[in-house]
Amino acid sequence: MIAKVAHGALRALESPYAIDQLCEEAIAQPSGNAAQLCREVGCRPQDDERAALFFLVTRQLDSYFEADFEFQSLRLEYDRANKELRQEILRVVRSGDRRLLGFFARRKPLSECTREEVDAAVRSFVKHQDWPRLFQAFVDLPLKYGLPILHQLKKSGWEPPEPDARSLLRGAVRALGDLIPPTPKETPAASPLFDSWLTSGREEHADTPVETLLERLPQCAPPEGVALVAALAGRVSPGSEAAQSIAEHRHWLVRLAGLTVGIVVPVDLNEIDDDVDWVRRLAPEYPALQIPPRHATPALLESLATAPDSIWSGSLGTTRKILQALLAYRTTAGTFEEIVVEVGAEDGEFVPIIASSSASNATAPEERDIND
Amino acid sequence: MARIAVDFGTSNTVIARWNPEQGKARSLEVPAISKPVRYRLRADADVKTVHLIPSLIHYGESETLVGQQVVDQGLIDHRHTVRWIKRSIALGAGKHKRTPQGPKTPSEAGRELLAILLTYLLDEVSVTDDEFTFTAPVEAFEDFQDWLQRFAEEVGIQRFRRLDEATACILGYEQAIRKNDRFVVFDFGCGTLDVSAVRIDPETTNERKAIQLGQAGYDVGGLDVDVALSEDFCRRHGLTDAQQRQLGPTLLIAAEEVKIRLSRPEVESAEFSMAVDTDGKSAHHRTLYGRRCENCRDGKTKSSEDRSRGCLGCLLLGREFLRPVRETVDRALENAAMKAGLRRSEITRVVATGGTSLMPMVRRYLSDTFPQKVSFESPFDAVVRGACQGLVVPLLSHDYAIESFSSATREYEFKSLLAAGTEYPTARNAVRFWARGSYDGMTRIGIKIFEVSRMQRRSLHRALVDATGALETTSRVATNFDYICLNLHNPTFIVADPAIRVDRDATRFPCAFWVDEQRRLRVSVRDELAGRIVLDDHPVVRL
Repeated sequence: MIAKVAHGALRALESPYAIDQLCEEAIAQPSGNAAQLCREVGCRPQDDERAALFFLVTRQLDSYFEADFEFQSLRLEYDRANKELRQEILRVVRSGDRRLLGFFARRKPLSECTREEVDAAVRSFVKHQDWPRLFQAFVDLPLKYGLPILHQLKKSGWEPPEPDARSLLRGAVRALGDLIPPTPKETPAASPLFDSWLTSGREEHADTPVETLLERLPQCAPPEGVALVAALAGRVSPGSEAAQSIAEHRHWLVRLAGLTVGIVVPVDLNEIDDDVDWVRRLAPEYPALQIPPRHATPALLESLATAPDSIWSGSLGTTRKILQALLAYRTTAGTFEEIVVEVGAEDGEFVPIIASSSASNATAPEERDIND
Repeated sequence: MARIAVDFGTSNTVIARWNPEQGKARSLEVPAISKPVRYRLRADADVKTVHLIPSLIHYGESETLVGQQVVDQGLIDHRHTVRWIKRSIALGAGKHKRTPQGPKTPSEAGRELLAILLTYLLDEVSVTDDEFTFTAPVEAFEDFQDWLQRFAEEVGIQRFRRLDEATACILGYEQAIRKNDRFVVFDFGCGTLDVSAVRIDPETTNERKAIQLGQAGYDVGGLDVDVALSEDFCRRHGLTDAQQRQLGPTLLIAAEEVKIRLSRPEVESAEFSMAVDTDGKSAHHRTLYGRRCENCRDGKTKSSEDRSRGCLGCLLLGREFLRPVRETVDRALENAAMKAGLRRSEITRVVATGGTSLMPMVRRYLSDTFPQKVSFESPFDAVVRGACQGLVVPLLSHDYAIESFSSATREYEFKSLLAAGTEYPTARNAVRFWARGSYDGMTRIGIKIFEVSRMQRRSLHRALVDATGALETTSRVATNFDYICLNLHNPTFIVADPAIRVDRDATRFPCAFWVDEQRRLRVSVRDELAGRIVLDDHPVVRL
């Protein structure tokens, strides 16, 4: 009798908080009464990530895939789950349903996500106060996302434990102030034909060596040139000689392709400087806000270091200062040259270049101000 | 970075992880997909557990089942289940099987099976960070290695190794192999017996280290014992064909269970029991099978109609189970004698693998034929244990490079660091570089080490029809180089304090690299400007 009354009361729950609690019970015991009741009534947690987890562990897979088709929410929940809950998730995922195999696939990094996905991830990090991940998002994403993230990190007061990362965050937060950066417009699609040239290049020349692509580039016709540039994306660095040759190509479509795929990134310019109006209108706006920090190269830093003073003023100027710090943080590649020992006639033996005496601990670089 | 070995077998697959602290390999459990096999070699020995994954994949409308899931759902013989995959790949069989998920070749089914297993294990293994060794049959090494290479690329395995099964199996038993040692690998699995005489060349840089001297095979295995037991049981209890069909795979599963129990030294008899529906009534049939009796011990068989008692020894003796085993071993050794002049007395060791080699009758035969020379302690996981362990030859098997920024092209490039075949430990200052900053104000110079993978792909070059109308094909080998960063997640930095000034610091950081006994790349770096050592014999990464 008591069970019947309790069952009736639970079926009639209306308070969102109470429903969330019932769903939590279902998550904790997916084969228990609470889970069965939730399935019968059709209730779900309010929070989207929790709802994804709830649908999965209670075996409501169609509802699950409607809520979280790319596993973004489930993976975050999995990372936060305890051992028992992880095992429960894995039990469902290993059940054989073909759709679930994607859970184990390579995680799409934030840098490959759409704006909606990035926004959802950032909301989740903030909600769960997952500051290390939020900081990583700042380090990985273009500043059009990174600057709002930086505002959140500033509010949190959190700092990374590593000296270099801490120095970057402190400097960036100091430079940030109340900066409200311009919002770049979504790049308008050039044309289906232009896009098809880009796609064909990525597919057809994926295995063609970079040297061959660069050799063909100067003399080719625009459709082929666009395809070659698409194939070079990710294989040549912004600021390199190759990028320069694309930026100066005689065909404006090739130049536009270079800007579109992110090989040509004029971070020192407020607006694209090209004779052809179409390039100015179709290229991504505000390159300093659009460049992914993983594309950092010493050449890009050099172009910022040698830029005129005028580029450092205003909101875009502040953005560039933060970008410069971020690129410097990401650029750690050195130049390695083999040591050549020239032996003179008088030399009897080689003297080891490394003395194995008093090693000092690696010291952290001094904190520097981005505004310096 | 962990070392993972995958032994993709015709009947079962074993995936193992090397534990460097214990110096042992552990087979990995995939809940509901793998089955634990517990065994002991002597009555007083510890029970060993190995997790075997049946090499089966079933394609349903909306689900793909693998391993033990297929067995548990009684789908082994289903027309949409693909089995004997490895053998089909090794034989180059390309026949499609129609499934609800489209036509599947053995190659596709094998790739999907292994990919699902590795993805299900992603909480224990990492395709990007761990080193994977796959074993391949000696006789089909080239064909199989292409297939494995493609699979590794598809699933994104970064550090990929291959080793022939014979060498892996021997390494699973023998710690040290000397050049020109002769081994017999006795692989007695579920459906096949493969016997090969091999010579190992541990010094070759090739991944196939075993040289086949003679080989023979026969389609006989543990499944034949299961069939014999189940047929004997049905005969004793007078089960009709319809009743046997109704029992389906449960009959064979029960027979396998009896066989496994009778393979344990401490077990003398095991009960075979089945509940069977007869005219709407359920009857419980039982037979207690002994391992041996006085008759079969003397080489005689005794046929009995007794429902309650049976003898596995008599049953197998009556079916001449050992005859093809003996003939196969003899044939392999004859082939080795003809091809390489191998004499029985020259055999260093006989190593047994495959669950059927655990059967007492088989063990007795091997011990009698090769006295004091047989190892059969790890029949289920000798291959993965050996593959995990690898062959300890103090030579680098890959080229290694360091990432460098070129100020001329303003592009990243790779500078050669160490060549394949370099003996280690190397001299302390084996490789020396100047490390330079790439821009003014730089405070950290990263040392990123890459393994250079020579990817050889055999691709169909052309296909022509010759004068007789037959298809003539030629293939070519293309070599690509792939650079895999070994220390992406834990890079070593040279800290520059004061910060870099490019024009001043060309000869500021001399670096000396060497490889120690443990195959670790170590570096010492001195800051000439500050007059101090910044990295002192610092371990960068294990090569």
